[in-house]
Amino acid sequence: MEVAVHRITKGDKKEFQKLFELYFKAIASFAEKFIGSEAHAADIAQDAFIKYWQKRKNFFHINQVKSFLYTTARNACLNAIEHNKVVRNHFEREKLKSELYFNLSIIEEESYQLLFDAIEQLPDRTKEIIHLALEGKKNKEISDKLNISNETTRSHKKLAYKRLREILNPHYFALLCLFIK
Amino acid sequence: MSKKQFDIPLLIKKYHTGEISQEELRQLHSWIGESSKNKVLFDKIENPSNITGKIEQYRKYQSYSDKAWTNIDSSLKKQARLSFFKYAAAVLMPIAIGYFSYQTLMKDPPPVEMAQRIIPGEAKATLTLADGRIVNLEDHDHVSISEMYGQFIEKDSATIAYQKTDQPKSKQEIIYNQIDIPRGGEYTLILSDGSKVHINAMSSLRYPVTFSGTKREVELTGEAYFEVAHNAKAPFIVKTEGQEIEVLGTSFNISAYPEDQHIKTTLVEGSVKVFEPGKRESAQYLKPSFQSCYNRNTKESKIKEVDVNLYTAWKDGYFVFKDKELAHIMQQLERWYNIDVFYHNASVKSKKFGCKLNKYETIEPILEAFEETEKLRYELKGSSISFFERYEPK
Repeated sequence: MEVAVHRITKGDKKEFQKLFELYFKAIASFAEKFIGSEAHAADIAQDAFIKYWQKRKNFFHINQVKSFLYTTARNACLNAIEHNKVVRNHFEREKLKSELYFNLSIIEEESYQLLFDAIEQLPDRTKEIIHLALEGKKNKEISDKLNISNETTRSHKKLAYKRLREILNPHYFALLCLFIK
Repeated sequence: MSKKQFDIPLLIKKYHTGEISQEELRQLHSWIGESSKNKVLFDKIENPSNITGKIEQYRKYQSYSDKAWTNIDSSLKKQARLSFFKYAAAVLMPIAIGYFSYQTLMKDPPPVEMAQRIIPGEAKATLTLADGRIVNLEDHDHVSISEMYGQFIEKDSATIAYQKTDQPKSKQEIIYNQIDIPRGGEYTLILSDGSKVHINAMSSLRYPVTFSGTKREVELTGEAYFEVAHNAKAPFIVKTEGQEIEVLGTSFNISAYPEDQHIKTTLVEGSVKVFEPGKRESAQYLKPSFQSCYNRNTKESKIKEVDVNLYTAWKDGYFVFKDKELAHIMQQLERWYNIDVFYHNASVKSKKFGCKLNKYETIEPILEAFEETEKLRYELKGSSISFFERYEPK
């Protein structure tokens, strides 16, 4: 899914929403590594997107935008830590401030986000079932939770395997299957 | 560094989806081999228990995501009115466009709610902190944002003041706030060095929370009246789009609305110099009661003596005009009142007036005053004002 950043510079709110929906979770999850609280991380991510919108005229490429979002989130986290809003011991604080840690964290988050996005391409029902399976739920639990028959669950799972096999390489697919019983 | 942040993840993803090419695989292995930390990270991502954990985490954030979008959406709606004056110069000049001939005049102004009252402006503004958080100054009677920066920000109903600091923290990055004044708003800001800035409607000022030791720099869009605290060691510089104004300690007004062709700097007291960004050597100096009028298009600057009251009365609660065209006068009023103005023809638009108006009055007495000059007639429907020639049939 491509986001047309140049449209956002012109004030296209729908495109901005697309970008938001694609990356909010990654930015929040990234922030959580620094400050440890879900709610706080969500706040920081939200503020980063608002700040980007205010400066949208300066951004023309998606990597520029992502870089800005990660940097803004990290700075907000460090600010909170510096002002003891978040308790961290000295050693952890130093690590969190390092450029290396920052870059590695982005690489990690971005890799997950891309994989997640690939899995998100599955059809809704299939996706739902795979998510629940990944959470460790058994077929029966899934059928009950989604109010569908066992056969439906099984056939969706088969479809999911098929699709995942198309998306993922054999090695990774095999590893993943270990988790989807 | 930044290239790697987004190239490597793509390689990793392609590796896992089987799309990776030979060359890309080579690049990926090269990165993994660069450092043990890279290898650790790669192994971590390869472990499905981590991807499933991540998927769980993303699902967890989905509900936050929905709520966050609702917040952002509503703050975008509020911002929409604030930001148009920065980006859409055309919007503020309805008088200049399209209302010249008989034919283009609408028979009736666009339908508006009759019940709308046209009230004068008041103290309102929004403050944007360095982390992007937006504070609506109208909403809080007493706001202290001290936890963020250790600066105590006091506020009364129309003023916001930063804690006075003498010692700048030398190594610290300068933190900026921005104050935005909407249509129909005005606000007074007291900076950390004690300098006072009265900011007019449809204007914004970007400024450091604490000034560094060697210079004091702020950025202005729109109009503001400055009373700068004297500091010989740190010149105060106002940056606008097109011109910079440098002072040591002094009182002056700058009008630099983005839709105006001219930037006008009027000196009341002290001394200032004005120059184009980067051209400090060719600066022009102003004496009290003199005004620099800089043309953004021709880049020419003219200096002349003026009656400073005409340019500074707004901060004292008055609109003062001397021999100005109706269109010019209404442009000022439109920044303060929620009105749309229409002119029957070019002749009515360019009629000249001199006046001193109380800006805290509702607009009707002001319109009455215009009509009493017998030079024109007006009609008020909702928030639309139309001006006609004196004896023109309706």
